[in-house]
Amino acid sequence: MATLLEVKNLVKHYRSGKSRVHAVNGVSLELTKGEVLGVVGESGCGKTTLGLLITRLVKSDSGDIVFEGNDITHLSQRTLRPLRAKIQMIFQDPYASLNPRMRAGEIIEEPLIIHKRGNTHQRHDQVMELLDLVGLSPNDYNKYPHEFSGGQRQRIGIARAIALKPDLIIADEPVSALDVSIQGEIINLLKNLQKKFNLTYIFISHDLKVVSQISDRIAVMYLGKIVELFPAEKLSFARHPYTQALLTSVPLPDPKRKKEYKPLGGDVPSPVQLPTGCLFHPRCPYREEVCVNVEPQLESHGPNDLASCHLTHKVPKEIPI
Amino acid sequence: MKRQSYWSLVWQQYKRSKLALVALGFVVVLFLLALLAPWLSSYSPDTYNLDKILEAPSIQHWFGTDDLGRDVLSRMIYGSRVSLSVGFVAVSIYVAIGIFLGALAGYYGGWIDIVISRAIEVMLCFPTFFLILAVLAFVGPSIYNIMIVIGVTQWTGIARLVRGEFFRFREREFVLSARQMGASNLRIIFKHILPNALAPVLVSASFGVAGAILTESALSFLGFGVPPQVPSWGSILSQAQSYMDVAWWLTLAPGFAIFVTITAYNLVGEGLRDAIDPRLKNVL
Ligand SMILES: Nc1ncnc2c1ncn2[C@@H]1O[C@H](COP(=O)(O)OP(=O)(O)O)[C@@H](O)[C@H]1O
Ligand SMILES: [Mg+2]
Repeated sequence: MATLLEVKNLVKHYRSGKSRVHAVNGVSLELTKGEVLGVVGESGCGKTTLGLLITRLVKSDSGDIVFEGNDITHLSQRTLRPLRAKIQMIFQDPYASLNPRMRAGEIIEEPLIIHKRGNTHQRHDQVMELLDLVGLSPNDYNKYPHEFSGGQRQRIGIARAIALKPDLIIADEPVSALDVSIQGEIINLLKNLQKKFNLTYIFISHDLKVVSQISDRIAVMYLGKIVELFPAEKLSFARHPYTQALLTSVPLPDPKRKKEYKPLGGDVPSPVQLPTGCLFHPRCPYREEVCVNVEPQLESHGPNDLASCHLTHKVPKEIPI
Repeated sequence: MKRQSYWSLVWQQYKRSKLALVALGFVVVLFLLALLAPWLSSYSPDTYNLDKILEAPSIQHWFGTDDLGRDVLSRMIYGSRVSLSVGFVAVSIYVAIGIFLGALAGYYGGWIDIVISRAIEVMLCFPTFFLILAVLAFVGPSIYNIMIVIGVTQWTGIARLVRGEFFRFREREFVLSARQMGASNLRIIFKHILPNALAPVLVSASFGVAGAILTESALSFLGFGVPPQVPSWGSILSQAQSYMDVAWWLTLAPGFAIFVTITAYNLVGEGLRDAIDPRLKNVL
């Protein structure tokens, strides 16, 4: 299968005054066409920054971004512009991500205008089709964003993102701002569109349960690093203590099934002052001397299965979920 | 929920204030006066009638006649043209300059912002009215010079306002989204940010029109404004003032007109400000 996107050792540190925020600290990943990669991690671990780096909305400090075989890391914004048709984004906040002065139809049409697809008439038809695809009605064409609910607004954002049939869609917490009752609908919509058009997603969320509903593979981020990367169906066999902690903090549908592991204690350490050795060691229940001193590398533990932990032999082999 | 654009929502809010509506009505009437001046005035504003100088108000001359026997009402009606055109042209000039510089500074930031912000600070150091007086003393009084001088000296307020709005919006997700889609900077500035920054500019511009009308009247009153033969509320007031002891009523019409007009524009500005703030700011 063709590699769509390859990210190598991506680093981004924000400088604010004298301190450095280590937002992304050497992330590498590969994405094949038609695949859904979930990125999960607590708030502040650098997920949004990673997405912005890949779309080149934020400039990386170092590392490479190779998209469809072309290194786009150092392209100027001008040369990048035509390429932008191929990567689209869905944003977290359905209120802030739609221009309040534009009608829904205009918002969905805009990418088509920017990339000069079709004439006015064809574009109008296409927008109507898109409205239908995302479950909105033709009447919604002339409405303004404030006339929609959060879920409907996110549908507009999705229609805008798929308008150009992009090769890659980065969805940054697309359901986190929505009511739990609506989240499922939107995830299903994204799933169906993905199947229908063989889309490729990077699906970002802080919620492992949400990510596991849609992803083929899951990357777990902690303090700007990927600490584990595995196929979604192997979720319960995740090896990294952090992933296991995330798993056990996922509310179980069946209250009788007891949680055997304590939920994640402590706060995320500040990305300004990174811990030594394993980034997770201050919160890790299995911590040993080596974890404090030596930084573990991502190592293969099976096909498509990477984890960075010194003690994979020590942590439980399977988490009941 | 009704289907409405931002501006129709603003109008709905605006309508709730009776005072603001009356003020807006007055402004519209003034516009019609200026527009229809030749049809509304029974006399030419320039025709001398030396048999009828400094007459008191009468059926023929509602506001009396001036020292050259000209009909004051007709001069007032024609004078509204000067006030309104100075108000609107001068404010348009400085709104355009202010939007341009404010948008540049707020959107691009960095050294462009530093240069423009310094320029704003320098402009703010000058007492503008005296700057205008000095320039007009130099280039000579004319209605166009007044417009231009007000226009190029008063842009700082709008520039600061627009700069702030651009700062506020440029990292918003919908702007990020447009950039992500591949929109050009011009498209982002004009299609995405500016329409969102326009409401407070409009409020400031209504107050600005009041200010410019007052400035023009003051300049003309002091003899630095329009040439004396051109009817303007300021120059009519100035001429009337010389005859206070024999024909005090001549000062009434121009004084009152200036006062009411300025109040009306200020009320429109306040009504607009109340209409867009803060309720709609949270909704949209
Ligand atoms: N523009 C910025 N300037 C400085 N720090 C930033 C900026 N954007 C994000 N950060 C910091 O970088 C870290 C990662 O942020 P982010 O990528 O938004 O994480 P996430 O999306 O996982 O919550 C956080 O500590 C955040 O405060
Ligand atoms: Mg985020």
